[in-house]
Amino acid sequence: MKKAGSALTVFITIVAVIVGLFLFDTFVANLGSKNLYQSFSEDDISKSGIVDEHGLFSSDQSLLRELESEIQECARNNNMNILVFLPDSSRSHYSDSQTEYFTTKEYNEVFGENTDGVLYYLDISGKSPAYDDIATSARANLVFTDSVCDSIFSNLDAYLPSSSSSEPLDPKKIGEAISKFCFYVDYYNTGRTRQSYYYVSDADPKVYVYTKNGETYVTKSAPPEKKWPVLIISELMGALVSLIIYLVSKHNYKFKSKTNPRIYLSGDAINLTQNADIFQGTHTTKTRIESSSGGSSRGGGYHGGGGGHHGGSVGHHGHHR
Amino acid sequence: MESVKYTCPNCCADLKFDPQLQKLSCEYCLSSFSVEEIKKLCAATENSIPQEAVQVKEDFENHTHLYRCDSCGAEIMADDQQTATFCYYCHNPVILAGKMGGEFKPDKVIGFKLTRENAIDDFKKWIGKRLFVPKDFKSEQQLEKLTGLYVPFWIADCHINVDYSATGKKVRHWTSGNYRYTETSTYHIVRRGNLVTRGVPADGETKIDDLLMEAIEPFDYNDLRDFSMSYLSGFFADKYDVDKTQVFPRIRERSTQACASLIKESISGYTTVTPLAQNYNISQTDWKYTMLPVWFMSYMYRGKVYEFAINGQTGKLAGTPPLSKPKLALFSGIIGAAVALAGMVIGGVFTL
Repeated sequence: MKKAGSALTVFITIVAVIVGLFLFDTFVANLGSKNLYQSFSEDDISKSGIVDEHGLFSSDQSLLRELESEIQECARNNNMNILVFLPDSSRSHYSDSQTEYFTTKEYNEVFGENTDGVLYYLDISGKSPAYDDIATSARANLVFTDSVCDSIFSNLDAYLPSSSSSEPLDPKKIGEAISKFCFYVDYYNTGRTRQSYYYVSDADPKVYVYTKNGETYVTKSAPPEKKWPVLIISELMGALVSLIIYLVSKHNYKFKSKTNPRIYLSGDAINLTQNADIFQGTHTTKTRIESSSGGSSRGGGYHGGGGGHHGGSVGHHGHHR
Repeated sequence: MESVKYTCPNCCADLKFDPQLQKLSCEYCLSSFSVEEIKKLCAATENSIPQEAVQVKEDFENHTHLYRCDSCGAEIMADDQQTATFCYYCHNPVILAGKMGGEFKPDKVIGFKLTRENAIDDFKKWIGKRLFVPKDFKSEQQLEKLTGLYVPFWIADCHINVDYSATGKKVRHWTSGNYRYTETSTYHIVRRGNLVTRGVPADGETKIDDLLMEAIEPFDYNDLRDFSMSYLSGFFADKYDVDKTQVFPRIRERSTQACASLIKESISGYTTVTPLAQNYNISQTDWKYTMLPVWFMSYMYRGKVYEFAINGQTGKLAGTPPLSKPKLALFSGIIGAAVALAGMVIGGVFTL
């Protein structure tokens, strides 16, 4: 009866601890730092468009206006800032990381940090190989993942000149590429699968972008779905350590010492009349050694990259043409 | 039943055995006397052990008896095991001489060497290392329960005939060319002879845990003295209720273990040893009925009795410490929580 009561107490304690941990985990998982997110504003629509630094459309302003109008329509439909940047030859010496640093800076200057939007850096600077970059900010990071951007880049390649081509740039072709880009922004932003969170590791401070209950968050703290595994693994580790300490300590509280009766064997009264190890014989067996071949090993390499830190929540997806 | 007491020849106060001085001391006039001196001075008392115990009054149970304290005349109740105790009223030592007659008269005794203070110090040191014992286990009240008791022991010298034989194999491997060779040499191992285990003790009391008594061994038999009741003065003492025949299996087992251990040590250098015959026959056993000094303490925790014993001669301590499971659970819980918290911090859960 007493044992049953004790077992019940232990059971209730365990249930209480599990419930308590669950509540704690739920609280901690949802404990977020300040939301840095700036939602899309219709007032900023006019900022969406094309920065034609290269002067590609200088001779065809109507095409430029048409494309800008298309971009702004796309921006309105997707609640997302969209900027297409056409660099001139002064940026042809940019390394890939410098390009990314520039696009981040440009996006943040035009639209502000942690706003929803994309900046498409269409490299017509003359750099070889050309490096196109899609800089994604805030919610756009969840939509335009690496695979999505790869898909966009490969589809747009058909409209863009290769860096080895010596032909002059065709504004119409570039215009078609920009139109197609708007199409893909629409396509991927409407009802497509999105990743649950995105970690902007090269931002300063480093931030997470995620959605919770339909709202977008840009925070320094991790999203709940990233915190849950950490919480559970940490708690399991703690429970394991607790259990080990408990069992080891419990073992130390057991009766151990027992005197070896060997101490009562009187040294002067050991009289072995026969103490012999009689050799009886020996036999030898031989076994053929089977030959075997060895395996091979593979080495790994370290791949690293560099780039400066920036503000906001801008991620990058680059592509060489 | 009659009881005896040892009185100071100078002031007639009661004498108690002092473990530090190894003499009987008077707390009032500070006189002290060796056991030999007391034997001469109190010859009448020393020889008052009757040949057969005489029970004069039987109380409400068959195993409870009444005695008269020679100091204050009060009637003292004791079970049929006790041979030395204290008067409940005047706290003077009372030796129940009638219980040590005939076969119950010990041959030898080792007097207490460890004073009560020494025993308490040893206990404190031992328990100090244990963090998860209940709080009141370390209390002064608990330490007051430490009791000096002369435990009846049977000490046996066993003459053992050993007949051991085994097959030993030495295996050697080497490689030559495309072949691996294995050479096995076989030996017939023989060990025969006579061995003597001296002074294997076994307590003769059912109410004391045998393992606990084995754990506080060994006693130094160089201090064995002829029994005198004066050693018991100031301590508790019991008489045996387990006779030689009953303790013999324990003695035989321990003696056999000792011999087997010696034989095992004498065989070395073999890859495998397969015993063919292991006969350890005890041909002769010499017995001594002895009173050995033990400091005792028991502690009741959550319905379980925990017993501790300290060798009253050497200070060796044994026992099972009570474990406060809530205390341990709290401690391991705190450590576990700290580890979990560290994991969470490293995992960036609290980054704000």
